[in-house]
Amino acid sequence: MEMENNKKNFSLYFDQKIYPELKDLEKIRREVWVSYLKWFLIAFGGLGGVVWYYFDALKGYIPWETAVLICALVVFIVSALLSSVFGRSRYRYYVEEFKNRVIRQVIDFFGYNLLYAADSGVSEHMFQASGIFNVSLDVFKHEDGITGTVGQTQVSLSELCVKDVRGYGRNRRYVEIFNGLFIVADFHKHFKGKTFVLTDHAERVFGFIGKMFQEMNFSRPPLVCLGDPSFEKEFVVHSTDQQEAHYILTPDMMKRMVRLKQSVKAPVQFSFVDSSIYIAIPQAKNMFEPKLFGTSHPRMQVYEYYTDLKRVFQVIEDLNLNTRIWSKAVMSKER
Amino acid sequence: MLKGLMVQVENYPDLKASQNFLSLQRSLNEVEAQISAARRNYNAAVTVLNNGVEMFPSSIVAAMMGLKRKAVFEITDTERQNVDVRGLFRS
Repeated sequence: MEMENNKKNFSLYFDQKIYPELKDLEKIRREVWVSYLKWFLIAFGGLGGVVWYYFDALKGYIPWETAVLICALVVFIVSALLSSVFGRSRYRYYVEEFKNRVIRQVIDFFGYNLLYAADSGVSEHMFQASGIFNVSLDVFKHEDGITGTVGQTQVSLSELCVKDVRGYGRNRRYVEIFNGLFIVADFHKHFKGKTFVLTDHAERVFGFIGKMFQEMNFSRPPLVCLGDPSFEKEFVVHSTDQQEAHYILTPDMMKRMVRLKQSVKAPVQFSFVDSSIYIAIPQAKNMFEPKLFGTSHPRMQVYEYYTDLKRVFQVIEDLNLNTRIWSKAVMSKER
Repeated sequence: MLKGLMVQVENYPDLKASQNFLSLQRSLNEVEAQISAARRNYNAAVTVLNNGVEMFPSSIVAAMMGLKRKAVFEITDTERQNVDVRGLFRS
């Protein structure tokens, strides 16, 4: 019922606030198309002319039909590539305008005290401070940063793409460390130590031998045994303070974390550092990107952003972070 | 502990808005959470020890060292009763 109401309210909000913006943005979207087409035609004409000039020479080496086919294909692909390069600046402008005008409005609909910045997000320092990924980084990209308060919880979240360069010479390659949504939120309890709740790969694959390897993982603090089989099937917990780990990970919290992992259908990982919770949710989908093709149903497209955002804010509710009944009553620090 | 306190508070609506009461409520919740964490931590450690004592091959080492099973911590009925907060303030 509540969901239906929200949907109805959002539909009204869409008509009043978002649709006029989309109508305005449609002009820019068409300009992007015109820009791409213009560059394509220029490149196609120029390259076609050059190929036509040398066509007789090419005919001597390969059959006529094959030569036409190869030339047409090469000219088409190169023209498309050139148009995408030259038309990109207009596209970037469209994306920036779209995010600032539409995504901002969708965020405002939720009524939280939040700031949105399309080209910023969780900092590299914050990402490193979480300690979830215990590796060096070479590429760190963030976008769609949202900062503010959701209910009583201060949050900072964004999409991240983090890579590391491995190997030397010809074997040098980029290895993806993390790609997805990264959330930093003020935790509702005070703590001093560091607790990491990571995906349990080793024990799941190798059983008790895997657990032995986890115990011998010297890059992490000691293993914590929490005594909840359904939780320990999904996660492995390392902490600098055993009792604090039990204080943070109450039976209710563990159930909520398992439920969250099942609902996002991704190997979500957590860390509890400096009285904050860090949540890393890997996802292939790049959220909040405008579509250049197929916007015949803008309502559906915007509703997708609404659903994505709702799912993000739901994480705060799912983990019960707005319940402030312990000694840490209100947000105690500014980010 | 807190359930009993909340039932009493229902009779005094003004008390619920009092900052002192909210602080007391938070402190009691905090104490409960800390005690619960300590109990679960102790029981988890005891479970690890008991598993080690009973399972091969660690059971051989445990026998050589004279280690025995330990009982997990369980609260008795009298200890489960609500704490007399009123009494605490009188003393």
